[in-house]
Amino acid sequence: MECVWVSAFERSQRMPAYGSEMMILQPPVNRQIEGSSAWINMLSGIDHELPARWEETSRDPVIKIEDVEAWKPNLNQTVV
Amino acid sequence: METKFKSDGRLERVLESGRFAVTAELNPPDSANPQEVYDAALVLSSVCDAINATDASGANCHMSSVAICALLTHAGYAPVLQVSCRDRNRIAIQGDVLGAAAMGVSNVLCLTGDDVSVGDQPQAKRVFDFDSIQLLRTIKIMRDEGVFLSGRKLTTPPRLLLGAASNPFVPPYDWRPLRLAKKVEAGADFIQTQYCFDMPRMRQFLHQVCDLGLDEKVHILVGVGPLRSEKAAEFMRAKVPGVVIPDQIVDRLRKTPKAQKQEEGKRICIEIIQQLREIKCVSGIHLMAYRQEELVAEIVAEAGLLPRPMQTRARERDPRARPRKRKRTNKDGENDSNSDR
Repeated sequence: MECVWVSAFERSQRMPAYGSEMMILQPPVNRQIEGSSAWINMLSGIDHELPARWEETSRDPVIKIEDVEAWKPNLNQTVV
Repeated sequence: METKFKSDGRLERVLESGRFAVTAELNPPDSANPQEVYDAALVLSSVCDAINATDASGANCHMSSVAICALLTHAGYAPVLQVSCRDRNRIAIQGDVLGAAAMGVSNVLCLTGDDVSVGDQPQAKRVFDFDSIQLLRTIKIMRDEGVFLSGRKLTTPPRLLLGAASNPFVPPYDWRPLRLAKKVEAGADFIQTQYCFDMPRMRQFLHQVCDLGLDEKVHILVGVGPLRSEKAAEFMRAKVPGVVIPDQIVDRLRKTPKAQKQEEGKRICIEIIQQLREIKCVSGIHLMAYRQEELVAEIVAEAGLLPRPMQTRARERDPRARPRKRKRTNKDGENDSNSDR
């Protein structure tokens, strides 16, 4: 079974506009909303609620990966 | 009071001084006898700057990391507490980190942890409330801001050097340095890598790491270890998650006469260390000699890494320890070696 992050990385290479979001530090998951509707949670903003101290950390990508030299060739590759 | 350092430990001081650091992994006992921990630590302590206490590595149950750290700090050693996210949620982990710091632990290695399916109890429930990056950031918040993740204040924050793992040897290779960058941003002060047997791949990885400027933000300790034989190498690369051993290493061991295989495995390890010492951005090595702890001192000595900075205090034996093996007697008063298991 392939690691979910490996799949996410490979697929993100096909997303030049949003590929850098792979480099955001993902906050801990809110387990209180486990089993509820992801769509409703997104629309109501519940899934944007973060642990108190995490809110103060940046939600920007650590590195803009489209700026990384080694990354550039991959942006034009098609994943088979 | 020193404000320059994040921890009170020796490892940080060795790393900051620019000396080539040596950490080593202690194989945790399947036992309730503390003397087995002391025996294992005694072999490692004089040749390394910190001893990693693994946290059910490979999802196999052993004496816990936090308990081993308690024993080691009590005896004056400098442990690295390994914390896996597989078995505990955020409440338990933050409590364990505070407790470990209170016992004198100065280093924490933050791991996501191997999945339970690779261990000897695959029926167990996975926790994974955090991943390693969230764990790093949470402990950094505790240390630097003096609060739990919830924002509740700590009366005394833990003074800890934060570590993370990296595996440069598993594809996708371009992702490895970027993931390392996330760990550095999350709070990693040092990195311990998976076993390195493939120097060309390691050089490529380090080149990318330097391109990103990460070598100036984090200390990289490369994982190394001796292979006992080609069979051990085949087993490791087939069964141990994330271990990659090139065919040429396995072939070299296969062509070596049986009586000299262990020595050849040690020689390969020393050659890799010598190559690593010549790479500027490598801050040290992390020695993992599974069931070959007796070789650690020889490897460190023959690689030219002695002397290490002296331990301040280390007791060879806990006076309260029980003997390692107790003789059992049956009802007739005779030794009974075939008792219940």
